Amino acid sequence: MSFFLFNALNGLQLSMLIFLMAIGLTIIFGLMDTLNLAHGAFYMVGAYFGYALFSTTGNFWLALTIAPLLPLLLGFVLQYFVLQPLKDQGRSAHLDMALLTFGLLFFVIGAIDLIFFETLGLTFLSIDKPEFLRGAVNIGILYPTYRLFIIIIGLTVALSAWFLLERTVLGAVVRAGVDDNEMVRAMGINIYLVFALVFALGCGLAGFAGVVAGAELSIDVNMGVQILIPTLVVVILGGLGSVKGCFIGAIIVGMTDTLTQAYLPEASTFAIYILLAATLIVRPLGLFGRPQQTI
Amino acid sequence: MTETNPSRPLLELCDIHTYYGESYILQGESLELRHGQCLALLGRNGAGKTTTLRSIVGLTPIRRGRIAFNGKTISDMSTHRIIAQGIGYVPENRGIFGSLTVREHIEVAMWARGCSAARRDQVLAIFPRISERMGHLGHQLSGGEQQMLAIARAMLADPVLLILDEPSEGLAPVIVEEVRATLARIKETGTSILLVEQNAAMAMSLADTVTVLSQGMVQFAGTPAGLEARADIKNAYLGIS
Repeated sequence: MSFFLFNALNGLQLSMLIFLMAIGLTIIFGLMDTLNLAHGAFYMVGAYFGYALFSTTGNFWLALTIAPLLPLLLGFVLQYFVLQPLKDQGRSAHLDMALLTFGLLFFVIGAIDLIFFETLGLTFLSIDKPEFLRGAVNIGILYPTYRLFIIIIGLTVALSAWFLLERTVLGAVVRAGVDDNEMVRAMGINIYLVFALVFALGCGLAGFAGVVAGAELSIDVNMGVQILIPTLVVVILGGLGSVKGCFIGAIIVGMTDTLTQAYLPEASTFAIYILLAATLIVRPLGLFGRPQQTI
Repeated sequence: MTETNPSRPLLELCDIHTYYGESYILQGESLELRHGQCLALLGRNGAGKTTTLRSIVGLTPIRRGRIAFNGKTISDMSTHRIIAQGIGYVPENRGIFGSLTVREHIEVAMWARGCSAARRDQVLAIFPRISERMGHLGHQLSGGEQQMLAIARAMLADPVLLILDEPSEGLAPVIVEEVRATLARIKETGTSILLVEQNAAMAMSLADTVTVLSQGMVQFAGTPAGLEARADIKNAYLGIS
């Protein structure tokens, strides 16, 4: 029983980490129809900038709060000054966006490799946890405190995202934009600014996830690609643009991945892809995906 | 409300040309709408009526020509800036968001244009049924309620010009009459109206001037009485005798 509980909590912890990544990606896709494969790059930028801040100041909390601002700013610039002008020129097919953002992901990987490995000689990095998040707590089983912290952070972000999207005017604008962004423009709203803000917020959350992960997993140049795959699975599984779908999808993927590794290791490499294929066959729009809702 | 100058036309379309990709839709259309008036834009399906409205609000930008609102060129502006000049737009499909409640539609429209609570109450007084449906989602409303919500939403910003694309489409005759009466009340407040309609009788009952379009070109521009006298135009371009 304790083995199961330990692994279930590990699954939940992984789910929350993936959720932090996927929430931004799903809203960006649902709202702007943009396949942002560079999302993994913002995760990396957050982690590496977080490491740089931590190694300079020794303050975990400073790294956690300041580092996501860089991917947030870069995300705004990318959407407002690069992706949107390309869309305005008619270069907005999924393939165009996928190629561009995938290229950007590898550019960032190359740039980080150049700075941290080639120049500074640093390879596998880590951010030290604060003292009170080290060790383990007894919750019926001994469980690492920092992993519980990740679960709490994920649940807090999920609740905040739900509140922002479902209980604020800005959230209603975003949902309206997912339904029909042309009509939002015709109501006098600068949808390009809304797009850029949402995009930036999504990238900031990815960066935040990078810092959070940087204290638990190692920070290396492959981390952006590694996290991108389960994130994309979650986005498709949950349904594009659906926060609820993203949350439930993240739990399904995180749990499946962790529990198969614990109980059926030979299936762990492909279990989430079977889930993905089954979902696409049975519900092509994902668990909570829906066609555009304008009437 | 935006400052206006009644001595010049409120809305001017000067020789506009609009394309969808390579399809040439508006082929040198020109029209004028004066302050406080209602202009009905009539024509068969595919005549270019909806494209005209989309061109005015910048959703389908023109390639040549000029559109001016209140003397200011708006054809080089983005949609949100055009709307901010004092235009309310009700699109052909009503543009109601299925996942938003009626209250959220109102809140988003208020936020978009900085509308006051007093203005909201003033508008909702014209649409009492909307007030009773605040908690309903857009897709739960009847066609008539959706149309009323779409008009109410556009009216929240106290527009100088209200643009409507086929507001009677798909509605029962009794609801069409309700929409017509509502538009008449809005017109009485001094708001100019540009109305695209298949229901020529309804449009003509509200209009001060009528423009008939065919293949993206103006075939007739005049008064409703003038159009009544032109059986050739009515027969050729509206399919009525």
